[in-house]
Amino acid sequence: MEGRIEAAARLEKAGGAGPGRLTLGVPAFDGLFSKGGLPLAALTEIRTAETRAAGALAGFLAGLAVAVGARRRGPVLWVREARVAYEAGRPAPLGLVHLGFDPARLLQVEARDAADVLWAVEEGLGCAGLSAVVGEVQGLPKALDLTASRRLALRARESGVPVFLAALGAAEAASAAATRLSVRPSLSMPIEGYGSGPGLPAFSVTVEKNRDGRTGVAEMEWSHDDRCFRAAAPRLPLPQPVVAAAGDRPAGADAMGAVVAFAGGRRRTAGG
Amino acid sequence: MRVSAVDEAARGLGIKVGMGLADARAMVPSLAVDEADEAADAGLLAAVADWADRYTPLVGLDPPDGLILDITGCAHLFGGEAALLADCLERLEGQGFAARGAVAGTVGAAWAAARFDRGGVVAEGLEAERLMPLPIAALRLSAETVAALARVGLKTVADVAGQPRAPLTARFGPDLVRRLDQALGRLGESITPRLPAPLAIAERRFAEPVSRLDDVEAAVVSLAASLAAGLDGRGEGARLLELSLFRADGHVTRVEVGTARPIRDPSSMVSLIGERLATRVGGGLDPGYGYDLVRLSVLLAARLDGAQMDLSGETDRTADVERLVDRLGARFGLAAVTRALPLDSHVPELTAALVPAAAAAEKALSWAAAPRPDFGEPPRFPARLLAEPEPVETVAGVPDGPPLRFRWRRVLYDVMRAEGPERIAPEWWKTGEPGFTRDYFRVEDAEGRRFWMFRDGLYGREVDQPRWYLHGLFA
Repeated sequence: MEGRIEAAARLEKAGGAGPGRLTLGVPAFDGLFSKGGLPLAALTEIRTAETRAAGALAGFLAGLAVAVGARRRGPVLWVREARVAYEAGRPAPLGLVHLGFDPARLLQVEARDAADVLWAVEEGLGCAGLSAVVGEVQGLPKALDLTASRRLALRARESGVPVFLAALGAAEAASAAATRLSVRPSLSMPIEGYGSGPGLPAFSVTVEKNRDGRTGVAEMEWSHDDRCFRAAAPRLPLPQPVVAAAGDRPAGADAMGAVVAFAGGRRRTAGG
Repeated sequence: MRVSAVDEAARGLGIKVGMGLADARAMVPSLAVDEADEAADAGLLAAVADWADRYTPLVGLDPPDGLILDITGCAHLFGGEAALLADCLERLEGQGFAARGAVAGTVGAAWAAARFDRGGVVAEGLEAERLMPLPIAALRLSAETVAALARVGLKTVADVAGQPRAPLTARFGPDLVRRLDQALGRLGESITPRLPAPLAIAERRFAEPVSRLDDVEAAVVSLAASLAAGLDGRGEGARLLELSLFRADGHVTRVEVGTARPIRDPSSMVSLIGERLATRVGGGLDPGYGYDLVRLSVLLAARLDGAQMDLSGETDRTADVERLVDRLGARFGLAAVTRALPLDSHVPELTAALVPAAAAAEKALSWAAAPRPDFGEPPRFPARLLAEPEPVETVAGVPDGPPLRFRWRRVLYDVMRAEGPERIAPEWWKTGEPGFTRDYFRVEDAEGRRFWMFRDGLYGREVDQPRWYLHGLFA
């Protein structure tokens, strides 16, 4: 017993997250959580301000699913409100392959309305064979009131199945979630030898609510080759017109210029 | 216009089926007339057949106005054939139907006895005796055959039965002898049941109709337990269950629930059915005057061996997920719970199909062979595909190049980075529709939004003014 506690302590010290915590390998993000990472046995809400950020959201969720999949086996239940499929399309299985997520692990449900999404998500929380549950709703549905989110948060804590509730084109609202993130796409870094085309998926992730720490913004990109997130430098405006100077970047962002040092360490955890 | 059906009162006044409407009105000026509605009649007959399901699962239609029930092995549940028949006719009369019925050893004899005789139970072995004096039409023959037989003086069954068979067949066709043999039991005849016959049935009858849903639920629980015992004995599990609730007034509610894998555990059966009831019947059953029969049947079953222990817990996990698929399927329909099947196509919307998780074979669902980007390459396929490619207005730089800016859903985007084209030819041999060659571009706008767009058709060669579409959203 003591040995196990020691081992756990070593793991925590070594920078690895505790058993119920997830680190993304992005210091600007992980450092916001005082207890060693994003709590998994809890409700995590992820919103996008715009519906058209649905691609970035899907990529970020796929990344989370890969990271969670390194610790928990089994399929990911992805429940989608029918409206979302209509407004922003469905995750493309081949696109997920390109992001490094195996669609064979995907179990999808399309529900008529948000209330049904919540019902299915809750059912999923009762299933220990799942590695994670993702719910996707459009906007801020009435069904997702404080009572509903409290209920989900409670169920998530009991069951230990990570649940990510994503709202497309939603404003910030009070909820019982332990963590609320807001995701938007950010300018990608050109890849050498890839000319003028877009680079790797890049996100700007704002931690808007954090029960276990601080709020803040982290710039990151997703490497499907290494199957991990890594820190991204804030982008300089392109040598072309129109791009606004990055005035809304977080103050701390300057410090995270150095990028690749974490990639190797992450690969062992996330790539398995 | 002709009279197609009459009630007792009209018959008493001399109105006959087939009579012209004008003649009938001339005879009885105050005659109440309704236009015949064959579809409604057929619907009503089907509803009565549904109700008759309470006596036996094997109910066949005998349009336009008859039902044939195979009550083999069922009569004892009702205290014998006579009691079953009496119960059936009494209940039909209670619902406002004028009905006649007969029980006999053959379909033909029962049909004849109900329609041309006094009905009741035709004792075993006495079919011939009961049939002989009946008119020849009692043999279920076409009107032409009956008329032809009448012309040669053959009016009763006995008349025909006494004739040599070969000339009868030669003159009136094979149907006559076949019908005679069927009625007398010399030739087997089975009915065509309206609904598939269940593999196993458990049912509970109530002397007094119950309307409390708790009572109904308790009944379902005990029925599930008795079904489970039967399935266990055969080493099977249910794949498709049906709950039928027979209301005292004749209305029948049926719900079906399919499962991803064979189940035998009564509590899973009950929870799946409960879920299905909650959604199918709009959250609440209407018991009306109450249910007098609750039946749970297994429509499909599959082999289910006793649970095996697995040290890794993998089996447990899989079973857990399958149970989840069942529960979700019970609420949303099994078709709404899907997995992604890889398809061999270059056309983006045809690279995958969503197939019901319950029916999917694990092996076919492997994406191991799917094309993926080379090391160092960014993703080349978008994270999301829109439901349909959406037309966009564009300002393109050079004819073959990517757009400089475009308008999608009324918003203008400036293209900052672009890569392409990736040329995808239409697979007309799959879709059966001719299509244009698509040139796909990956583009990023000034805010970092990444899109997948294509130009539909090659400049000059396929179209004069190719249109642009936005097809997907990259991460």
